[in-house]
Amino acid sequence: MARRIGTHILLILGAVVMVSAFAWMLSTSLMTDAETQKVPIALVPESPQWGNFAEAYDQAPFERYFINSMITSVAVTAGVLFSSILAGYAFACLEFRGRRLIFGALLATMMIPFEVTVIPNSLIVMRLGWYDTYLALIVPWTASVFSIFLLRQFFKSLPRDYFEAAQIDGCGHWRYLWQVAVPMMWPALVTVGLFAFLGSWNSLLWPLIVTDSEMMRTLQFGLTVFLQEEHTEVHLLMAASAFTMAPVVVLYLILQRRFIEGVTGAGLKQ
Amino acid sequence: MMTGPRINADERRYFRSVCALILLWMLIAAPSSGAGERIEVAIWHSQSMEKRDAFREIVDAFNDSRGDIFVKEIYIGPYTQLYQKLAPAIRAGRTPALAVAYESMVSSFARAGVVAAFDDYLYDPRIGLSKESREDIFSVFLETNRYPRFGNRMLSFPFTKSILMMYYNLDLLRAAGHDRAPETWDEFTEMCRDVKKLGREGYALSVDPSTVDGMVFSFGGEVISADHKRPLFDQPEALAALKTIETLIGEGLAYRIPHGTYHDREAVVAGRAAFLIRSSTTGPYLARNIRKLGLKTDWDMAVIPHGRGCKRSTVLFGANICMFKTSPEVQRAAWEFVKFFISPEATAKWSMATGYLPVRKSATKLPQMQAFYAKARQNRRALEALQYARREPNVSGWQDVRRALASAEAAVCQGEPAEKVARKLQREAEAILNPPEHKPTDAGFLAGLAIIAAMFVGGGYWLARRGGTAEA
Repeated sequence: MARRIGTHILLILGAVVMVSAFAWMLSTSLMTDAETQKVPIALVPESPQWGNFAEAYDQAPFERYFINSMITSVAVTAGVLFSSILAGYAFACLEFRGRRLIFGALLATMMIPFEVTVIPNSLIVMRLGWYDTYLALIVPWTASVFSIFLLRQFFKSLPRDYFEAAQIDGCGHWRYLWQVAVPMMWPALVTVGLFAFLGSWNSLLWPLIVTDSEMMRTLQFGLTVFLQEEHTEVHLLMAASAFTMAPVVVLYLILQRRFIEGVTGAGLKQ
Repeated sequence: MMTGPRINADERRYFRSVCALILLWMLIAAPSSGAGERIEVAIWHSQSMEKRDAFREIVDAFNDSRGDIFVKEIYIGPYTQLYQKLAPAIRAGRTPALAVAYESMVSSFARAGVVAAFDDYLYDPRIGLSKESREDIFSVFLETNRYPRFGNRMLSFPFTKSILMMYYNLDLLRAAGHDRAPETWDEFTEMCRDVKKLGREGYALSVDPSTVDGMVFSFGGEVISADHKRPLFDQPEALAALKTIETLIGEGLAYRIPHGTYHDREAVVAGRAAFLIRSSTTGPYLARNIRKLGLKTDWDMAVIPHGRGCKRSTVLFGANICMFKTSPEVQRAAWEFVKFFISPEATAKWSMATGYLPVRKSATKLPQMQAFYAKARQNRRALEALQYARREPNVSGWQDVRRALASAEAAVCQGEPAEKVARKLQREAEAILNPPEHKPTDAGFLAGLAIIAAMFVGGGYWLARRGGTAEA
């Protein structure tokens, strides 16, 4: 009993730490500029400034940024799922020469930080003529080694009998993959999809480098307008952050059960 | 391990269809090139919100006045982002015609050989500025844009200029028995002591390398040697600056505000601290804080104090415009915009809207500026103090020296002895400004690359094999 109480206290403390940043963001988004600069720091707004959200929204074409972020994130998620399913299946279930070596090389690329590859990648995108297009925002991110690795582990956990039974019924790899294997691994797909979506939704540096026009900018870029040389409009920044992250929070709330199943189930054999 | 039949015809067809769809989408989504009749001049900048509105107005006025040139202002984000975006753009040869940049950034770009000097335009008898107009520009603005390590060429032009100023709460100083700003650092320290007796703070210190540079200047020193190769933080003036901070912190007369915050502004307007030191563009934010908090604080600003027997000095702040090598037509069009931007009317408008200093002396005499100064006395103070402004070094690597300088100031604030900090700072700055030359041979470079690649692939292969064995 005491152990259970201790566990609960620890979990509650963890939850409080996690929620406090979120609560601070919401609270600050309702403060005045002067309140955000008070010492000691004000935790609760004296009088909620609901107008901050409208004011923040007016500082940049957020509706356009929202559309771009949504198009990019959905396309990247679809691309990552598609490429990871194919690659993960191939590495898990097909025998071909150099399979381990190729997979090893793929895993090795995970150790190369993004900052190292950003300039060569951006040069490739520019030379392809994709600068300031959706292609530049989407295509380079439609393959993810981490997702391939994750899905490979799931494919490996599927009993071989399923494939043999499907083979007897005349299924090839392609049909078995899409009609038998994929429907059985929704939790893994949700996990991979959420990671891909979040990564794309939150990215700033890449969209900044490969786009120029307001028409192609994404939401995270919009948040930077509140950072000025001599002043940061913290209350507006927090208001904009709140409506920027709202879609992701809603998406997570809808898919959270599958997501947790996916994360905890990765790599386990049935 | 599962093995199945080879990929059959149906599967191959599916695969081809998917590839064809992807290719088709790529073609549709690829950019279309459109040629306009006007020469397009792109300018990447970091002005947002109301400052961007003011900049847009000037850009629009220029575009309306010119049928042959179209200036496109593009907000990129804060300076760090601007730099991050310019780095790959330079490598790819896709630089804009103009970009806003600090001197140290311009030096880096100049090393890459992509910067066009303004001298060729400024002194051109046909399209340049007349001698009278050149002399109308505040000389310190032109000086700061000349780069000694690049033949003293003018590689950038003034854009958002301001200076380091001391702000003070006059109500609090009066209560402490003073009715004017301190002239020297000794007076400053003394006033902080008197304020402290009232139970308030003296100086709300925001760690900023420019403030330290300004203090070194105000003690009659320099931060870099005349040949721009040796830092001078081991000199008595630099030590005097750090020791002043040490005394203020040590006696509890100053406190350091959290990094990246503006708590010093709130502290001064609310009467909890007497002094803060920041850029002259801080003034409008102080006024706004007072207004929004419903206060009636009497405050003012002045040149930062100086050492006993030394001349008044302060630091010139702000970014500049840098022109990239594009084509002669675009460069000339870009110059036309720069010329328009520094015209007395445009620079006056920019100054009134943003708080930055006007570039031209004649702009300050325009009726609209006179009316503006009559209302905003603090803006006038910054203009009056401009004569004491000194530029910070603009050599390549100075941005890293600034980081070391900020760490040194923070270390003194944390109680480290000023002498020790100054010695360490000197060593670091020397290493930054004179890095050892590495000239790897091609063979050595390739061998190193091969070893790293082999390690990565070998490591990955081992991981994959290990995973496979564990599962088998």
